[in-house]
Amino acid sequence: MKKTDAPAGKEKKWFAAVTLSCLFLFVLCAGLTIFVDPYFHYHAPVEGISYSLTDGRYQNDGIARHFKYDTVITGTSMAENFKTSEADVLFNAHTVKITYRGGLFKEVDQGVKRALSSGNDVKRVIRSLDYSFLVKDKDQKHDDLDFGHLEPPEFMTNDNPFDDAAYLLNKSIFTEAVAGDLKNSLDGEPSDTFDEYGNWMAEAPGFGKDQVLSTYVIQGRVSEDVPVSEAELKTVHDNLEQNVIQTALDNPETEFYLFITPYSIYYWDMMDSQGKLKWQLDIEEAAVRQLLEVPNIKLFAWGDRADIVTNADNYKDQAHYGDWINTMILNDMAAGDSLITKENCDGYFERERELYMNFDYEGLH
Amino acid sequence: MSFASYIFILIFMPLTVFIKLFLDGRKYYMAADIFLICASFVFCGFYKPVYACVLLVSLVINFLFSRLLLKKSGQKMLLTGAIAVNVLALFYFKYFNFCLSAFAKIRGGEFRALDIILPLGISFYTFRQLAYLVDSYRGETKDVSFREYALFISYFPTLIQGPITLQESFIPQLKDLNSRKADYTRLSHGLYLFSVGLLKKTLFADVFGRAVDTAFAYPDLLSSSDVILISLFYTFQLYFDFSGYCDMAEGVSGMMNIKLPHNFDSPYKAVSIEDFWRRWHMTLTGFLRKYIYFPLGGSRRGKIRTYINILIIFLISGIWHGANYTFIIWGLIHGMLNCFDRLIKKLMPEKQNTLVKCIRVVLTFTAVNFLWLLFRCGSLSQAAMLFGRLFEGRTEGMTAVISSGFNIPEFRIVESFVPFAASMVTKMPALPAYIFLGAAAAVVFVCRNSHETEFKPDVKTALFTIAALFWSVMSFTGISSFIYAGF
Repeated sequence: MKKTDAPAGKEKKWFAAVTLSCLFLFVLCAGLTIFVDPYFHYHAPVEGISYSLTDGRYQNDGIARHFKYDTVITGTSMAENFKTSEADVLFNAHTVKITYRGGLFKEVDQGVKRALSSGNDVKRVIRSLDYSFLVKDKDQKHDDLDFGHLEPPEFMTNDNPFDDAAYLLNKSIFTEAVAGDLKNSLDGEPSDTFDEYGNWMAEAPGFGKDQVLSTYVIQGRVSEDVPVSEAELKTVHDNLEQNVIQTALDNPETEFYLFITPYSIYYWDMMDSQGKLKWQLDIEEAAVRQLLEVPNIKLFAWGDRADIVTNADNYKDQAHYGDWINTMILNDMAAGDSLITKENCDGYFERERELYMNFDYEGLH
Repeated sequence: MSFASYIFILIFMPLTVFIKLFLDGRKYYMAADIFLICASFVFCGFYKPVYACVLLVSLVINFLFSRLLLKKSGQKMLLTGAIAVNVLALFYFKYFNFCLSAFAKIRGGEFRALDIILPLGISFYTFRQLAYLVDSYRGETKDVSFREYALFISYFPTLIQGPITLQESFIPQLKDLNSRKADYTRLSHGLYLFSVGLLKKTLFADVFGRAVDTAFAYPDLLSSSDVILISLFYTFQLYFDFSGYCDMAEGVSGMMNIKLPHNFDSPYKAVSIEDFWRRWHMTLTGFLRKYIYFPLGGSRRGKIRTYINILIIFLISGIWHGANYTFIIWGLIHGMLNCFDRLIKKLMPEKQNTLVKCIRVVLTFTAVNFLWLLFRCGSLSQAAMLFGRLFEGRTEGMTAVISSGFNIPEFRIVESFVPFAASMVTKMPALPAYIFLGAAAAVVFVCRNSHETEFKPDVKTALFTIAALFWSVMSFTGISSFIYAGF
């Protein structure tokens, strides 16, 4: 680049003006972000500011650490439609929701651990356990996030203050979260509630048979059953041990309301086509028996409820049910219905196998 | 450490520049050099200390070789041995696994890659040291101390992506004590250049890069037009990333009173492949010409030998760029096109009208663009698949997905103010990508490059620098869009 001859004083002023201006802008940006703190990284919500609850993986850690509560609802997209207002009434509690769409057991467990070490007296944890995430490596936090551009925000979930620059000097967070919250506050909009947080009902394309069938394709049916291997059983065991059971054992004063997510019959249709019906049922049985050994785990399941799982109107795809099922789950939990115990689990397994092994899957199409 | 990181911009760069200039200002020149060497090693080994260890060992061994070469003049065997040690080291770190896999394929056996680290910047500092060894053999480095040599090789602005500096341009600057005072002319100019480079990297290269990475994660799903799109994306990504880095290197180095050679001169405005290589990675071309092409005889041993020498140069260039057959083929094709340019040069009229020049620029750009696609592919089979896809006429692809990354916060801000913008993007999801392509093309084909434009320390450049620095730093991290496919 060619330089023109300019008085040295002018360039000194130029350099000083540029560096001081940049410093000022960085401090202003970081300062505003710390003050508003849209992701609750430093403090609880500031009174008078209207907060949007939209970015689970960015906000969950802050919610766990800075909010006041005695009940936590957590899990995957299967738990996103829970209404904390219903849980508050049913359990006479003060509930927050921290869910991880697509998160495997390890990621959810890290959130639970954060909540349990927050200083709150956490009386209960309500958590989903997805069938399809049982056979996953215990240290894996999520599957390939298809078409995702960036890695999950470790800087929001670790205790390293030096990488907070990624939060404080982040144009997306500043222009969308900080500016968005300030604008909502000026417009007099209320903060989002936990009922709304993560709730995907408005995004759902619809429910019912046509919708569900449009989400998957059966290539052909395998006639032979795929057996469960010892390695798979060990994977399930280690996954549950590290990412579910150990946390419960470490917190004996807290009750863990876990539920096996009631996937639709169409999920079992897919399993049947792959020869994995018995495989999945065996995996589930091993998992359930392992969980029943823990005294402060209350395990709920509706896999034997044909009225729920065979009713396509409850589902938008093979797995995801509407929020009325979430309401039903909470009600059952509060009433103690659909609770699986050591005494009744054999009957549960028997009814499940009866339902899924004898179902007319061809008739679904 | 990367230039485009919080720690470099907010801590490392200001601290290093300040301390270096402070020590120079107090005439503690040795301390300043030693400080800069230490800072360079910190830069190198920041994420993996072993990188700094490898650099140190390489540096010490080569300095000893250079001293021996100076003491015993005309020792061709010694020079050959010293070069061989460097080439073998580079071969081990960079190419050993590739050779093992090739060998396994030939034998039809299984290949298990060895766990070999690839030290940061090894390709660049190896070439610098090879040049230094030859210069020592020629007796040109007699008055270079170990301190000066260590700084020359480890110098952090040039460590990761060059430019490939030569001792004849670097060392004299260290010895010129008059030029080592803090100079606000150089400080302001350097800061401006650094901000230009940072803007290129964060606002262009990284955005294009994300789209390219998405596409290459699912190459089977690409349509024919997707392949053209990503070739363009990658062409611009490479340019803005590399030239942006070089601008940043020149900028930060300029602030410390060390001038680095230019490495780019609007390469996509080239009218031929030969012209392209006079504008792209100019220091690599210069190194290959001085230390390989000329010793092989250059163009002085007849036409056939000239073409062979050119092919050798480009073969070496291809291999140097990476351990894969794609780089080798890429290099050879460039070599062949270079030879072709020489062949038809005499048929070209000396004065060409604008239309002819434009056609030549378009043809050259097209060739370079598609050769970059080969460069990016992970294997020859992937390259064959993508090039085949170009002619299949496949219409179903993932244009919307690979274009989604271009809907950056800046566009969303515009959409919130311009009423029809959001609906336009809804109707044409790839619109932001096309706007980006248009902007990139304008910068590359129409605008003058950072070395052609005059720097004036006025309000306009101040505002630009502030905006570029601030917005680029704010762009280092975004918010991940987790489009969970199972949901």
